[in-house]
Amino acid sequence: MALSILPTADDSRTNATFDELMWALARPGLVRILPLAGFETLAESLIDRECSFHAGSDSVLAKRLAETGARPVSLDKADYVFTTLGSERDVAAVSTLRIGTLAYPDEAATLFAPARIGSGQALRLSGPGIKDILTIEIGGVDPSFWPMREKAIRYPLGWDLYLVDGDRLIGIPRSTKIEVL
Amino acid sequence: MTLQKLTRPWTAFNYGFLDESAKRELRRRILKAIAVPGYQVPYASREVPIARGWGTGGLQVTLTLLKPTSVVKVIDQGADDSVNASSIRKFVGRVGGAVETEDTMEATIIQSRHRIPEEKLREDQILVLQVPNPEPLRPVQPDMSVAREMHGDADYGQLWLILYEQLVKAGRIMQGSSYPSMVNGRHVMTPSPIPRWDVPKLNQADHLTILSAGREKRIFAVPPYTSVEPLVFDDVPYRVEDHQDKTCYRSDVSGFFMNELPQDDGSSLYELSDSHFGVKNIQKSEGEAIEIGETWYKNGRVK
Amino acid sequence: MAYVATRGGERAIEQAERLFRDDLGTITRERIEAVRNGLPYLIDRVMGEASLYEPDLAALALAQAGGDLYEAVLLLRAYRTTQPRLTVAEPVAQTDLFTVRRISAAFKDIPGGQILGPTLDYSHRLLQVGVLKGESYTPDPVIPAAEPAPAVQPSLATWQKAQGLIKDYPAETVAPDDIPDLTREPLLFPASRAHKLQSLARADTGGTLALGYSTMRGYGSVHPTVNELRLAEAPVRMRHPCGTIFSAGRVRVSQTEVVSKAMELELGFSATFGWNEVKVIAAATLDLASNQPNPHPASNEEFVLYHTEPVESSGFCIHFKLPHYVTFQSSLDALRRVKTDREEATAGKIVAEAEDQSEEEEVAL
Repeated sequence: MALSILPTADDSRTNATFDELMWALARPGLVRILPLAGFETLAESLIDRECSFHAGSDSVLAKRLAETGARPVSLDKADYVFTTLGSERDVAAVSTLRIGTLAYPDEAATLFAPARIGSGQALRLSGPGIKDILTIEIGGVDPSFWPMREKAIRYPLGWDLYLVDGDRLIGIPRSTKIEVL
Repeated sequence: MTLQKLTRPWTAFNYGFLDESAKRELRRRILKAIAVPGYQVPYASREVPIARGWGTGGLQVTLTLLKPTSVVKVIDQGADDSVNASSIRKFVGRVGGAVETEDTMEATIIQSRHRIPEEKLREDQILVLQVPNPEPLRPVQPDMSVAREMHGDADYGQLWLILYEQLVKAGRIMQGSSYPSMVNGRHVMTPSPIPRWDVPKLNQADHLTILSAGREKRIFAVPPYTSVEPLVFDDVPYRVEDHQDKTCYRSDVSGFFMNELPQDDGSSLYELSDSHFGVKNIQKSEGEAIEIGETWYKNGRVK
Repeated sequence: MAYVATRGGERAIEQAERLFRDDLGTITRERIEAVRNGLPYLIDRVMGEASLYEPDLAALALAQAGGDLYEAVLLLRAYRTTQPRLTVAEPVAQTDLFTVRRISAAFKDIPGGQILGPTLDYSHRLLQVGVLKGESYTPDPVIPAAEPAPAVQPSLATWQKAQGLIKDYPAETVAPDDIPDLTREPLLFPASRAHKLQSLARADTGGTLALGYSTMRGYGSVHPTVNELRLAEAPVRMRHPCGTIFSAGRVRVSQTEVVSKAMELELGFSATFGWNEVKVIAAATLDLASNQPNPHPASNEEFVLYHTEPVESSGFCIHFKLPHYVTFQSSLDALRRVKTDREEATAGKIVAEAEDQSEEEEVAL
């Protein structure tokens, strides 16, 4: 059995991206560095014809994401949502994200959104993956987002969040409690 | 679009054996497992070239995480050289070009069956536990669909009841390994068939643990700094195996989990279950410059 | 280095594998061809359970495993899972099947006729021991019918539905990409129809038979009649990216419909790769049984589908050979503790009784 031992460039990139996605969620609020900036890199390591997605109003992104084989669907049905949270309208839209069911809380959405990491609203995080507590600052996200999240998540029901700033990434799973300071 | 564009040059196998679509699925499931600690995420669970029930769940996770810079340790019952551990380690090296190690401190990924190493794992390490039966409710509810509803409702009354019955009948809780434990105050999980000795190592740990049942197609996780509490009654404390005072006849080390070796005369000898930890202790006592990591247990008591 | 000194396990492990392979000797192209051509029903059974249709690979798997069926199925499944899913073939209707054998137990004759095809059903099962003495066994030649049977046959159930004997359900149209695929998603319950039929299609023949047989014997309310059984070759047609449909060859398939004899006729169905009549009859019976309310295991789809999975069940069965001394140690510890607790309790009781006694003696004095 001849086996290939070395990963291709694609293998390495998707593997490294997932590494960051995984650690970002395992250690909420800590900044991880992606091998490449952009939603497409995140998408190629995660989604394919077995998933659905929603790309907000970004039709160029929607086209690129569709190349993974994933199905574009409306926001309230999507497994993976890539959208901005800059305005109150954006936030109102994502209030319909899937939160799963008690039997299958994994059937919930994952939200990827651009944000400014390191300046802006101070947030105090606690929960699994966080040693004691952690305070982070996030900008570029409408203030209405945090109370909306608080209301939407009824653990273990809820959605998981990634904030992306260029090649920088933080993860905030539904298990994280957020206190707006 | 042409057929050609949909395909790529033929190769016998992918890097890490699993193809990219299998890996993507596992990645999606692992993320969900981390987001809801202790909740069993169903997954497709691909066949891999070892038999089901021999660590295929753990192997799929290891293969998904694998990169050429990975340093992989595989143990079975605490030992690196056990039949299955060495076969899995070889396979991982063969399809992933990863570095193999027996030293807990050097490993980035530790795949294990039935044990957690005695040396404390760090924030950058991942423990992958092989799981035969992912369902802690199976003894009280063999129907998986009903058990799933019980998890959904956090309905663990029947589980408490069997522990109580054991207490009444035997005077103590008879659960040996796979001690049911509450994760993040919400989901009861099986920590896999690790001895009771090892369960406290999962509580508020520095490392990430991923538990995977290949045959039963369920994956779950304990992120770092997450509470894992064995189910116990307020007035009956959790008891690990009475190995505090046993001494390893090879290394002369005591205060860790031991293998019992029955002797012809009816007595028993004991040896450290964590085999490489034993090797390191022997090497150190022979004057070699060996670094032994901080241990979870000190003087036979967990810190 | 006492630990290392007691190892040496690696060498033994390696030699154990060599010993197994040594018994089988060199595997040649000729051996593969002999297996493929000489044992087509075994090849079919393995391809069905592996859900991978490729007679050469199946023959190779059998040769490599020395005929151990579960090992062969595992080899093929582990190969199959690494192969990309490029496209979904066009659906095949019963009337598209190039049918070589087609029988119904429900009627003496059926539209299109009973076609016996190749079978041993009606033969005397006698070993041709002369072959062992060097006398080759050449079977009597087939005498072709004056008129060949038509290549395709109508569906009996369609006729029954038209007669109002069997309830017709509207066919669901599902986009190819939306067809559930058991090999790429977990089996959850209640299982979707597609998952159930896929699971039965790749189920273990022996396990399927055991559970199906329990239903047939009376552990359940289903008394099946074979409505229609077919051995056939199914055309594999694919859609080219430019839109045209082309043929990629044919695969051997078996399918069975069984019908209940209850108040209302209900169908159970099963189909699989290769020609394997026992499996599809048993599986179709289980399909039917799982719709009936009764307390027996074979009527519980979760029980049936989980326990007929050949790779999961055989793998777990042989895993019990792996060392379990840590788990065993853990139980042993609990057992011993109970014993010492009891002994301590008994000892305490004796001391207490002795004290009571001495008090009495004092009083007596």
